[in-house]
Amino acid sequence: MSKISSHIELREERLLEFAKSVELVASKLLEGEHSSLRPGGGVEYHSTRPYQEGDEPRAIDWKRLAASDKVYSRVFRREKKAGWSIVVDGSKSMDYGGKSDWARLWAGCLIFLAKAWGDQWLLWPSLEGDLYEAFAALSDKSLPEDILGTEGEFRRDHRLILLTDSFIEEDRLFPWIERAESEAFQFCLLQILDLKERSFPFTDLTEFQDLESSRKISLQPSSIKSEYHRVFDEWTDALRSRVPEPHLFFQFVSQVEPIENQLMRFFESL
Amino acid sequence: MFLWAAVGLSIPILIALWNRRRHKKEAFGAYFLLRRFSRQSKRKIRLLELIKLLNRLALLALLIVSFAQPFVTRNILSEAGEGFVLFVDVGRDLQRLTVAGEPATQVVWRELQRVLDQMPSQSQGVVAWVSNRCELVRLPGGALTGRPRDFRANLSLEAIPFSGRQLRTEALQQCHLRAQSLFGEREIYQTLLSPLSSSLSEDALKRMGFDLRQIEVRELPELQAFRLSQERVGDSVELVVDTPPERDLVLISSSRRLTELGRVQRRTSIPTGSDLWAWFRAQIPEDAWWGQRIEPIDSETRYELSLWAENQSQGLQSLFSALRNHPRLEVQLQIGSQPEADSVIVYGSRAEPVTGASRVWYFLSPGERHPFSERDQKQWSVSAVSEDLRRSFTIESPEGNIFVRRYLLLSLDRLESLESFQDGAPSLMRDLSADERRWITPFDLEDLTTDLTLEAAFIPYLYRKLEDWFGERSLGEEEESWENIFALPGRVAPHPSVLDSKDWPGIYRSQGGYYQLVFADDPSESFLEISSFERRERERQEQVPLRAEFFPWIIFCVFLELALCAGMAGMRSFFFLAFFLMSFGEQELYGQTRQIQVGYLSGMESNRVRALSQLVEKTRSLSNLDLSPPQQVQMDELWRFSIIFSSSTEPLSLSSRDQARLREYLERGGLLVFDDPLAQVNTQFFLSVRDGMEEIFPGRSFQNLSRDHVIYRTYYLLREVSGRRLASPHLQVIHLDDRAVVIFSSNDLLGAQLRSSAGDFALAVSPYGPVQRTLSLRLLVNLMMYSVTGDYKDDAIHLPHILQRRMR
Repeated sequence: MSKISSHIELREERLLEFAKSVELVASKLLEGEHSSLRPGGGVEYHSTRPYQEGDEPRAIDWKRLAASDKVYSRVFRREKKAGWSIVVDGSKSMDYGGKSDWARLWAGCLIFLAKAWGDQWLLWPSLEGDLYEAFAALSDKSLPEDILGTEGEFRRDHRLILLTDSFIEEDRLFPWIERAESEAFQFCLLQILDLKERSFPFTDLTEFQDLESSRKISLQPSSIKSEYHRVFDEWTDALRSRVPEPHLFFQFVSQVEPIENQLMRFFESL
Repeated sequence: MFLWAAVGLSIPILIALWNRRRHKKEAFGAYFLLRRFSRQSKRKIRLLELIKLLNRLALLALLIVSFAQPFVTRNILSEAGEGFVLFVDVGRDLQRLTVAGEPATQVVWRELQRVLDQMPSQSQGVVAWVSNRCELVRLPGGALTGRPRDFRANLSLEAIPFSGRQLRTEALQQCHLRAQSLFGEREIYQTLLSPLSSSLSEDALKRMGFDLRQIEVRELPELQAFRLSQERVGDSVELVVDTPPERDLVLISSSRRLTELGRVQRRTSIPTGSDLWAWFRAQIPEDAWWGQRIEPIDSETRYELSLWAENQSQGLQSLFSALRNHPRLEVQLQIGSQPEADSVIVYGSRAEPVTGASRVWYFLSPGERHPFSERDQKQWSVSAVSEDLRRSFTIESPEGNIFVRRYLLLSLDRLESLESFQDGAPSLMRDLSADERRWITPFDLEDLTTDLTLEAAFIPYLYRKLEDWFGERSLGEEEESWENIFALPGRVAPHPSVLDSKDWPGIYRSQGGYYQLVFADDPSESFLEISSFERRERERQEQVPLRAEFFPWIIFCVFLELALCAGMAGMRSFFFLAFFLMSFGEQELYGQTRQIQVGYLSGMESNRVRALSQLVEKTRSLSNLDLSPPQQVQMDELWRFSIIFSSSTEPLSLSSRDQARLREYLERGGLLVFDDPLAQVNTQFFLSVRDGMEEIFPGRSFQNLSRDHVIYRTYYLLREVSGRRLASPHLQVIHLDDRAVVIFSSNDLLGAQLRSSAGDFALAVSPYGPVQRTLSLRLLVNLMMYSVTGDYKDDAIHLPHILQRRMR
């Protein structure tokens, strides 16, 4: 019993910490200069009907009142807005550096903002509506490891945002992207990478281990550095050719650039 | 003391252990991208690191050992401290087996190495191959002297020019004199490695003071002699031997085909055909050449010849006798009246030229009448014993030197010199103005010193010349056209230089016919007793430092270390290193380009290119000009060269593009020197050069260079031109703004400087001999100097000094 309670406490603690982080980031976007960036915020005129109790005074059609001496209210139909489907790659390679934390923070912020804007959201494949559950899943890292092998539908009125390091076999990743592009309202790929994965700063003889398969390989990094960069660029180019900009974002786990700035650029590009 | 530094060997080991400790592990997110590098396994890296460690250990050990100045002690001959001369018999006796049953060639080679090992490491010496002539070994770069290790590094058994000629005392004496001239008054150690054939003079060997190292060879078995005759029977020739020897008969054809005919029979019928030889092959293991006999199958043309003389004389009889013994000549002696034959040899006095003959050969008696324009006479005086003077009465032939006492110097206006005395004066001439084949020998046989000389050297020389005289070719062509079609098998393969000098028995082909060289020397006689010679060798011990031996390995280790580091640091670094090394090489090249570049145009005669190389070496030793070895000129890189030579028998051919480049080169300060190898005026080469230059510099033409031009005093003070032959008394030049830019010499300047591989001058100069050769060298040096100094010597400051020199 005590074990369960301590687990819950720990979970609550982590959840609280995660939620605070998300709120801190999201509030910066929601407040002040960033509030106008919310997409899909407009309403359009639908019809006019006789005033009913409870209608807001600003909905009264004052011109018609002046002309007919009857009170009418203008009815606005809210614009149909796209929701947010967030897919977070939970594979073990995402555990390298701060990639997983960064991806979950991204996901939390996106969900928080969608909630704040009143948009639909889905933490793919099944969590929606309940912010608490979503945040709990993100903070617990209880996300599917093999996201591409997970069953789940892509909603046609949702933007599908995949947060991954994209180190997945081409023959699995690209068909999945193709399906997402055809079924979802819009598809965006956020490639989350650790800076070391780009710069490959190793020099001494190193035994590299695969986080997913636990396979090992000993390499002299200095002798293969240029070749590694070439392979990295080839892979990036392959992604770029499959998911053209502006729907492809390369994001690095970075202590230099705050996540809200990365989010800002993301929203600006949508 | 330095060996304590061996403790430092632990440093690389500690570094390796430290690096091993630093071996990192990384659970890497982008392992996905690393999969293709799986070929670089851990084991391979470990192996590389191990090699690196071992290399570092080796490098450190080599450095420590070399600083510790290690040495080895070995026995050396103390008397070789000031120099050594190793004479190696490469003659006919080396074709034998030694008493132990080994080929003498291998034994002499082993002995040579052993002697070299006994020489003090710092002493300078000479190695000479001796047979019937002396050939000093040239080291790379042309040096005659070197340290023992230089010879050890550059000699090999295959490079020894084993010859078919017998070792001769004269050749040893010649070698001995050359060695003395090289070492002066120094006490040097001289040894002779040889089976010591009986042909050597015991007294002469004693005088020369050799340390004799005899290679004991097996006695030769008695061989059954046989007499061979040939009978023409219809279309075949029958070889008849009186006593069939135990030998095989092999037919050799000019197409190099050998036909085995089995054991020699009393009579063997052979179909007639041109150019066939019968080889009586003996299988005598003691000597590869013992008992071998080659006889030409008699199917050749016989020549009729009339030997004409006004009076009987002893020399005439000697010549008649020699001619009668020629197997292919039918000679008639005619005294007085008009010579009546198609081929006539005129002996002695005759004022009128012979008419109606297609070949005439004059043996002129000095002081008697003859139909040629005479310039002077030369007579040997017993009181004159100078070696140089003796050379001017000596004709060099492969069989030996022919010495005459008197000869005529004829005007060469219409004569061409075919052969010359050793000083360059003509000893055999051809009359260019005559319709018939007219040859002139400017001496008669009365003046040959002894009958021995006549027998041994002059008669083979005469026979060879007779065949040339009857043939259709000229002597000049002959020298280039010898080709060996059958070399008698020996203990070793014949060295190319031996075949070139026709010192290997066999059959040779020339443009006019075939020549057979089988040496008649009989090696069966007893050998010299060597007991009377005192061995002077005294051994002492020498400490030979080994530090120098380590340096190449140290450099190797350093490069291996760099390569390993570069390889482990990735290709980019490797290329950086390569680029660095290449730039270093380029810097060196840049350093070389500061030398004065000497070039030659394509198409230049190969021997003139060799002469140019030899001239460059000579000029470097004579002056302070730092000349680079001559290179063939690429027309787009003319600017690199200070002076460019061209010497060819072919007409000069230049494209319009090349002409433009050449014009620019000459206008900007270049110097182009044409040297006619034919040493004649108005040759095809000259006419093509003249036309070519008129196209390059329209309106300018070749003019005679005045004797007060600065070219005649840029280095040596000269008053006249020179060359191999004095075809023209002037240099011809084209001027640009008082600067000579194109120079043409019709006298073959380079030909006068051409040396053979043996180091002797290859071509005779006429008519003034050695002085003329020296003057041609000086003129060439002046041209070299002119190419870099221009008219510097025209400055007034030099005038008093030049005038003072001229007054001497």
